[in-house]
Amino acid sequence: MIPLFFGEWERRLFGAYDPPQGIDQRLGVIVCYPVGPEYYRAYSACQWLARRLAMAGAHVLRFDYYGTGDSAGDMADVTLPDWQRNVEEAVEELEDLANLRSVAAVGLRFGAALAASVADTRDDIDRLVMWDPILSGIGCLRELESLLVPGRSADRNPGEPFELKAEFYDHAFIDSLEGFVPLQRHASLPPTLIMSTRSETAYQDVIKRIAEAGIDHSLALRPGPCVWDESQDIVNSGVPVEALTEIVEWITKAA
Amino acid sequence: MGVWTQPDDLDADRPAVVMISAGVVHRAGPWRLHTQLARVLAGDGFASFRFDLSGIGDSERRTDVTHLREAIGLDVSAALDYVSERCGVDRFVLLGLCSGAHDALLSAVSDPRVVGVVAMDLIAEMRNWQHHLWHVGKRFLSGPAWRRLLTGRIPRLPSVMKRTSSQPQRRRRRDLGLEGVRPPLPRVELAGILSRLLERDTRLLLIFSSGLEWNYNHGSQFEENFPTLARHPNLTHHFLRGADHTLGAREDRAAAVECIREWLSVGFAR
Repeated sequence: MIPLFFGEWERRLFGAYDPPQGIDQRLGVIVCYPVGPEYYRAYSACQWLARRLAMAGAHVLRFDYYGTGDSAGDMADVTLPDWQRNVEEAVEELEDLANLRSVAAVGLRFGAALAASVADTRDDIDRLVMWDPILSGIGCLRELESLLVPGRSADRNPGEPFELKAEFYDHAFIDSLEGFVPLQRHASLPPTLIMSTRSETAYQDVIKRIAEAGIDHSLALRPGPCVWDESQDIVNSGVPVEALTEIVEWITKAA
Repeated sequence: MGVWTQPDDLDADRPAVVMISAGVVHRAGPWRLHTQLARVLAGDGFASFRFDLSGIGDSERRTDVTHLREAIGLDVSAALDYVSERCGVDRFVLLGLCSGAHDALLSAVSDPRVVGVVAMDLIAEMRNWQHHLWHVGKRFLSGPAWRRLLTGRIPRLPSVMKRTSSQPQRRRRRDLGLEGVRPPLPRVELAGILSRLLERDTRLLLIFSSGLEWNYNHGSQFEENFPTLARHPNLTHHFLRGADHTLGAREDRAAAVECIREWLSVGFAR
């Protein structure tokens, strides 16, 4: 793994680039992390996936969104378009790093919504994997609200920032999340794999919306550790090997 | 894998702060504690290195040793070597929360380059009779206890005491995600470590929170356990009442960061 910073210096993003091992498939993959507590929990699984993709010959870039992890900024400055722009910057960085024939995006949880919203507006993302997706800002907000400091109210006063664990979230950010619904009726996504490590019924709404938009998609149900889930034992649960192996195969087979 | 953050005017005579992984959380720290701290400390003129222990975050798992303690010792030593070679700093303050505090203290003992340790919410055997008294007193003074008293349903002592028994403790450790991370450091071993570090003029800052109330629940608990050590001029201890284990509330985090900044600026002034 090669660590790097990219993007504007004042708003630089931390990236972890895994170059291909063995035969270079000239395939780029960006991995979009989940947000909030799920980011910390799923970090190792995303790293595992990146390594397996690199072993299969892909150029892989994981990155921290602005205001998260090792990237610049604080959550108080973040807006939703910032994170969407970060996904675009990551695609552009990967295209600069390697002479690619195709690019795929893998998004976990809310990372799937960000990846899908960007894939909808660009024509250089050829494949999309939505791993246990949260496809609405409201869903993401629900996850973030689980971060509320115990004893604090979820009610927000206009003009005041919203305090979650150790960070303030700007009102504009929360408001933009509330209104964020990717995959509208006219969405134009590349072939999409929905990977579920939960039950068959967990993502019926997502599948329905994708089908209504006429997107070429498939659903893979591979029950395994939900690495992002707070109820899982983060130390001993491991990664969903079967699901991640299938993601690698689906992406590289197409390439 | 680590991230080096340095001030605009790096002073190689000042110690660099090396932040050790907390549990299985990668180098950014719980709720980004290490990233935020690194930036604040750089503003105060302190360089820092936050890194992933082997097998955590982006660092490869070691294959050359099998014992966890040995692996951590080698990891920390490698981090100090790297910073020394790259940046010319040869004195260090080790900083860690939870298992990171445990690892910081144990690593400091074996490395004379370490001149200071910040140990946050160290898991060590700290319970004493005063801890039990505070626990019982708090339960008796709580609203539900008074309601029971006023309605004639007086709690029996065994039911009040039961939460201090070892089984619920294990459950609480598991609930906090601490199970399997590190065993609590025995009291005698901790005393030995602190004594050895103080003997060689290492400065120590111990911060405790209410997050591990099953083990530490009042401000004077450290000095009750270690009266002689607590009076040593190079040892500072703080209790952040009401703070959770990962310093999740903004004001608790700010208090901890202020405490660390002040301790560093007093102990390692230019």
